[in-house]
Amino acid sequence: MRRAALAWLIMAVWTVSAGGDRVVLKDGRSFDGIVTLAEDKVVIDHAYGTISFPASEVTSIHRGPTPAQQLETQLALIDRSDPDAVFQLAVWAADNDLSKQSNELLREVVELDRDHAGARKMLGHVRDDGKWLALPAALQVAQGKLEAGKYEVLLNQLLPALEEVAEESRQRLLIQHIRGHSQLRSRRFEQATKSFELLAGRSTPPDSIRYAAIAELLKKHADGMYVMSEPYPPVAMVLDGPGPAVASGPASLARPAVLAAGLRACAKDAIKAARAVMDEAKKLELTEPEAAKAKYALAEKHFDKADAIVPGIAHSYRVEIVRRRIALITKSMNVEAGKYDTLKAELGKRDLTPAQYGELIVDMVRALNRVRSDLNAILQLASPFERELVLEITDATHRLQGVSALREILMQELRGK
Amino acid sequence: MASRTAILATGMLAAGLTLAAGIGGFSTTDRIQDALSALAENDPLRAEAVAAGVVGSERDGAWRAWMIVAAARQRQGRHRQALEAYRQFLALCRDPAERTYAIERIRKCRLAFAPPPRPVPASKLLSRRRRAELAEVDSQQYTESTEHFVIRAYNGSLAKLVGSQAEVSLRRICRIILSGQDYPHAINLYVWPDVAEYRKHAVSAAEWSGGSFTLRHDASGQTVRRIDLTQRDGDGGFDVVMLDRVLPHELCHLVLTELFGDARCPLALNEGLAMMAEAEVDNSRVLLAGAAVAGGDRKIALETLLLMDRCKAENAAVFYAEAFSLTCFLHCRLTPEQFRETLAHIKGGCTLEEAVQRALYVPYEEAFLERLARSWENEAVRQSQFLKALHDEEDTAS
Repeated sequence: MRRAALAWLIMAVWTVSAGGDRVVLKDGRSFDGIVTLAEDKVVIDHAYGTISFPASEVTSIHRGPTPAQQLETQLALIDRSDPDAVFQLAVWAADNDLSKQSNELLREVVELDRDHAGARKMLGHVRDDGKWLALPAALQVAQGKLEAGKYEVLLNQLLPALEEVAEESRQRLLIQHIRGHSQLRSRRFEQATKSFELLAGRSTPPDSIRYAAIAELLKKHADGMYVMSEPYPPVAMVLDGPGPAVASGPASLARPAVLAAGLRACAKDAIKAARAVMDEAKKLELTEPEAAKAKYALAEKHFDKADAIVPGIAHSYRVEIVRRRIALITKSMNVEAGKYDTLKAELGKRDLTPAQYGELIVDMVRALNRVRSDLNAILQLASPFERELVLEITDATHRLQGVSALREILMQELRGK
Repeated sequence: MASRTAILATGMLAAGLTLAAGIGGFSTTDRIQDALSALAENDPLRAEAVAAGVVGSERDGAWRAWMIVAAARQRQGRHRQALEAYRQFLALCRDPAERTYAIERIRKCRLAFAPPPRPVPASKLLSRRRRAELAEVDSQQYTESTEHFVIRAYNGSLAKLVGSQAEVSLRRICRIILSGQDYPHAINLYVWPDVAEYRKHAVSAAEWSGGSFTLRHDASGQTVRRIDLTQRDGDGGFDVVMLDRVLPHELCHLVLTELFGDARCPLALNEGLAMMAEAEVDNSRVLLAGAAVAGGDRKIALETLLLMDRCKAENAAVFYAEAFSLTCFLHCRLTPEQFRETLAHIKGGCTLEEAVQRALYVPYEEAFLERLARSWENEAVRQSQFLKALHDEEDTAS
């Protein structure tokens, strides 16, 4: 114990210059770190990077031991079989950006005392059923407990413990996700609504959209009763296999299948809204193609919502929109191709001066450029749906090759001039 | 959380002794949830008791428990009481989806305690004498009209009968294809005395046919809908098949053709629907479809079936049998709304697999058609085996 106390006394003295050396500038500011001199500069390496000052601005440099050196000195002074003493040094090391050493020391602590709460917490360990688990493993266990229906253990023990050690926002969101579903499945509808609202606010799309839909569903059905208009999952009625998980009629949103059915109904509404917009777009295709394009973009937003709630549910509609947009582009492309053909016909008909001939070729290249740009737009639109739009892709690729070849010939002609 | 037994006891008490209002310290939500658990556990008695207690409490939102009361009663087969509970729910419910559901349930309850008479094909109600009368041909043409039809025939009584049967058939077709929506047009029906006359007037009809439809625009741009039929069979008797099968079959083709417009409807679905519209199921088709899909070499795989635009004489019977079986399968497994949406998506250019998945509002699955084919084939075999077993049983009994 005397050795530990001595170590702390030295530590307290060194705290002033925990970074090693100290540089004092003429303007009064001071910086701690590892100091090196390079030509007319003083370079300071510290925990957050490197800074340098002209030597002329520096008043003094105080040399001191580095944190690592200080730690070594401390370790030599303490009783290494005393978990608390080792733990205190581990804390000091962590505070002084020696995370690697800190972790090693923390592991040393738990070897000495496997239930050392402070060390376990710093290591991100959580105790579950008497076992200490690292955070990723503990999160998996929590998900398992959610599926197993152990909501009370989750809500009262595991999730609060996880929350204490989780630092990454992704992990904190996952904990909140498990909490929301635990509350929902244990029929704490009001609490669950708040949890999902919180998740919707903190996460990013598509997760935020899905969480918002759950919160909305729970708000709308505050008593947790949802009326299923048809059995769920719907394919169970059409395809052989396990029957529906939930029959039609009133059911509790605490049941995962009922929640899934409710979410599917939200996605269905989004799809219906999108289809209405698609119908409007279709009517505008001939007269106002730009407005039609804008409508299709709006429909895609509804589909984004549907897909966020039930992944992949709007896929075939997205393919349909792309098909329609390709048809629109093809129409305008055919106009450009027609212009090219007209220009080409001029070549043979008219007696052209070299300058006129050159201009005509340039116009032809321009027409081809526009066709090429349309074909590239088609390929770009179709590329996420290679399987469904294989014909469109093949056709556009083939045409693009033809256009490139023609363009090359024209360019050669121009260069020849 | 309230213990389930405690809530159960409370619910039972409320139902049995009508001590409903303000029982126990449990919230309405807790008790509704408990009733829902009972329903999910297939215990409608307990569900009804608990839910009835909630309704009786008259707390905020307690009325929603009427839905559980209704569902529980319906599961017990107490359709009249269930209907009453659905009505109570409907009176206070504002959610459109829940209202639609309640109305649909009320309809089902009504059907359950007052089922409509089983439809009997018109021909089965005709006496020999009546058939003889219907086979008579006058020199003059009679014209009859109904809500949707103008019928011309060389027998006044037949014109009336055809008119009434056409209306019955149209209602059936609208139920199958249009989810019960009304058909807003008028159709001309011509019943020609014999095949020779029929062929003379129905010029575009197939040579082997005894009935056909046409849909065309006249000079003024008006759509003309017409069905040509034959009154007498080859032996000079009244052709009952015309009444039971040909009339609804051609009528269905006409409605479907108009519904699809320029869009393509797979022939199998088109013929399948037309066969479904007929007044009576032809069991030989069910038997043949089951035998074909189970038998192997005669089988037309679903993928092929959906692509066929015509069929050859050697596979026509199997094609029609499978088309009927597939369409019945889809119509039976999908809800009326899903079936209507499937047709709408096919009209919009979707393949059958895509259309069904869209109508079901499920994410697209590549192997869906394969799974659909398997399910349909299993069902076709099941149906066929059932019929066969029934026939065998009847043979043994006789």
